[in-house]
Amino acid sequence: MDTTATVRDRPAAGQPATRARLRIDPIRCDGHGLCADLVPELLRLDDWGYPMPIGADVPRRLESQVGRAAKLCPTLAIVVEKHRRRG
Amino acid sequence: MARSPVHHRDSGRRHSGRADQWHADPAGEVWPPPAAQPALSRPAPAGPAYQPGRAPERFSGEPGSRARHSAGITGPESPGPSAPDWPTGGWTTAEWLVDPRLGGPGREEEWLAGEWPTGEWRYDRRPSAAPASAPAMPRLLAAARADGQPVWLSEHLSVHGRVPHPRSDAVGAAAAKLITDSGLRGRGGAGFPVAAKMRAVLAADGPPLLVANGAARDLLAEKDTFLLTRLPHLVLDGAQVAGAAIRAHHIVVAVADRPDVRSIMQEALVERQRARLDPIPVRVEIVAAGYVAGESSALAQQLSGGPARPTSDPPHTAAHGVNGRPTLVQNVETLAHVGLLARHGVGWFRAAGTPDDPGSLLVTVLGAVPGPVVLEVPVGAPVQRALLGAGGLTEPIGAVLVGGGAGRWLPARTGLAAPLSHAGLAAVGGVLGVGAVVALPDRACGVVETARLVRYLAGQSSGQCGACLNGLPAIAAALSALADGKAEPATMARLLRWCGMVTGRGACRHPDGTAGLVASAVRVFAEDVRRHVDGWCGGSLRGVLPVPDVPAPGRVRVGQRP
Repeated sequence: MDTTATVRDRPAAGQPATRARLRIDPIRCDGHGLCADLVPELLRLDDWGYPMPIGADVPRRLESQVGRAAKLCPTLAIVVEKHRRRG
Repeated sequence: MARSPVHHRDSGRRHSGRADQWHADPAGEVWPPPAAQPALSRPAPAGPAYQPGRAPERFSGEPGSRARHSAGITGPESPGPSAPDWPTGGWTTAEWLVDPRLGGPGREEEWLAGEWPTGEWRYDRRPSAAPASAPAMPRLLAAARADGQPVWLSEHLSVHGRVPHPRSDAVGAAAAKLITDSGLRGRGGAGFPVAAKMRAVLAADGPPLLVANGAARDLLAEKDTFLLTRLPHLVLDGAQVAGAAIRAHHIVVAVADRPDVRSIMQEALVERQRARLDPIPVRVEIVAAGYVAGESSALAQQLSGGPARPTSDPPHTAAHGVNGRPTLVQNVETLAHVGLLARHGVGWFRAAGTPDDPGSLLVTVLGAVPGPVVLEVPVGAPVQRALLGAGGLTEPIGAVLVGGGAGRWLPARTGLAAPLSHAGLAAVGGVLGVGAVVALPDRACGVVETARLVRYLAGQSSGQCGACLNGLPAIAAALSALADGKAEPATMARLLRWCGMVTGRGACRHPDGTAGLVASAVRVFAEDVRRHVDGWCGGSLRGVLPVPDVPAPGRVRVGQRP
């Protein structure tokens, strides 16, 4: 049962196809919820205060916010992965 | 690293002693797709059940006994572990080439030094056995004894023969190719192709390690304990072959702390040590049993001296497992299949099962059958074949639970016809899981049974991830309220919402399994759900699922950790 929406940001023609992906390490995450405050477009809280990513891809305009959330997470549970795609 | 091809299909010859020959398919041909495969020489009996009172046929080890067995003539029982000489009978013509550098205590340092063992291994040049000696069914259970006693080494070898070994410098590539070509999928629940995990281990850095996982504790599946206590040599044979494929330096057999399992495994290892069967050193480790403790990364962490809790992926256990080493964790049933695969080849292995999911499968059958039983069916056989093999239904049933604790309910009609394969069950909304089938009597109530199971499962989480910590107790509480007839209309909506909320949000697949189980119960037992919402229950039988009765675990407040 899928309760999450997927946000996809298609790169405009000519932009490099580098995609940042957001992942939350569920073991480290303690449900502080700071990340959902900083990046509400990408993270929602579940019924118990734990963050749920809405889709894994990070739009370019939100990359700095996501980076800040990753640095401020008290348990360092946010992982931002950069994938360079060819073509 | 390139190796010469190792699977040569010489017609009829088992071994020419060539360094690059692993095992010639006795049929002498490339396996055709199963549809075109000619029927094997012995007609397969319908899903043989391992039941008390039915004496399986067995080889005696005497010369010519294999031919007699093929003709359906049974010989006297093989001697037990007290037999003074091994090998017995017809193998006296075997030629042994034993490397004096191998074997015996004190050789471990050679393995620990990181070198793949060199030197010649033993092999024999006994005459090729006819394909009739490797019948389609039973396979794993061919040597299983009616009295429930373990099958010790001499009996094991007289039934199955020895695992052929090529010259040592080709064994790793040969074993890897064998497993890859077979298409064998794991039998621990996920059904992941063994070859893929193997490649991940080979691609990683560090001295590899094989872990035979006999510690997975699904209360509905007895098959792992069954294999360890009755057919230990099958598992240990397969462990050596799989270990060779990944160039393992060690093999660890992880078992739960049960005195019978421990003593039987130890005795089996002593027998093998005396017979110098195991090039790769093996040790048995007692590990904490528990539902998630048997998960691959939890097992690897425990074997590293840590807690029995799953770890984050990445890195995957295959790349970074026990003590940071590349670790291949395989269920003991998977390894048992490898043990036979090495003897009889890819063509034989793929002659049963489906193209996508070949071979055979151990199924644990419970519920409305004469007694709990472990039996073997070809992958893709319908559930009803397993029920027939268990002795047939003892009373009318309404539904079947297939897959174990992380399984799914299916209505009786769909469930009975559902093929026991990953794809076959997925097509009808089920999962193969650990191959457990519970036939739920009509008298019992699916809602009540599922609530009991989910309360147990919620308590089994490792408590590391918010989804399990909060979600599973909430789901268990809601389902319990429903089972007690105290549910409100909003309860059902919340229940399904929470199932969706926990799926995919744990470090392991525990929340997914429970969520899938609950969703399937709500779907299959819709009538019972309606009755329970109205406050009453149609069931008169309780306690069908063999799980302990535990209260729903308490909810944990946000931000708190136990």
